[in-house]
Amino acid sequence: MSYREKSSWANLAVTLAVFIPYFWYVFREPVASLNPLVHIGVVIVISVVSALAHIALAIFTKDERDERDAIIETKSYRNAYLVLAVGAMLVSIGSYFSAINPELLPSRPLLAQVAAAIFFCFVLAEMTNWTTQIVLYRRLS
Amino acid sequence: MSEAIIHNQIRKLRFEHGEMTQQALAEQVGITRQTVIALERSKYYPSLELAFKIAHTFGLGLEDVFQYEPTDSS
Repeated sequence: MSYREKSSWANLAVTLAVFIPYFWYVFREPVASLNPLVHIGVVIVISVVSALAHIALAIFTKDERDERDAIIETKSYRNAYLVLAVGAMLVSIGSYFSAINPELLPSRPLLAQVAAAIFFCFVLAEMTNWTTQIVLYRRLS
Repeated sequence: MSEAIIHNQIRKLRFEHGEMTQQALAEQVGITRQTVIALERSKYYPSLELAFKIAHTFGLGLEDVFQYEPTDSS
């Protein structure tokens, strides 16, 4: 397994491990999750864990990139962009309809929920990116 | 739309050229060993430039290394 493939696995694992509990908390406790320490904590945790994982990978595996890596990266970013675009569009449409008809959504801090939803789309896009890379590395090796 | 298969003789040619390792070939043409493995298994088709580099490494023409086989007739 190449460094890049291992990196994709590491990124996917870290993303799932950090963001599943994060979004579970944010969507279950929308008011409590407004605490900035929650978000700062998530950023710190994911940065540190991701950095440690990649340091460990770099010690044991040489980082090389060739045309096959570039093709896989291009396809994975394309898929990630599509997920992000569809997700952002759905959030936009949902926000619009909830703005013109507030009864559509229960009484929650609307802006924070929209921000969390957009961030969720971004994280989903990143997971699509890593998953596509993993699938293509398995298929093209 | 017809799908083509591109066969190659890379593995055989490596052994015929002083039992060249996958790593040695990878370093000569500027790719990773994993890509050499993918090429030998026909899981990945090289770009034109890479195909020429590989053929040049073995001192052969392109069609001596890679063979095109259409699977459906158009």
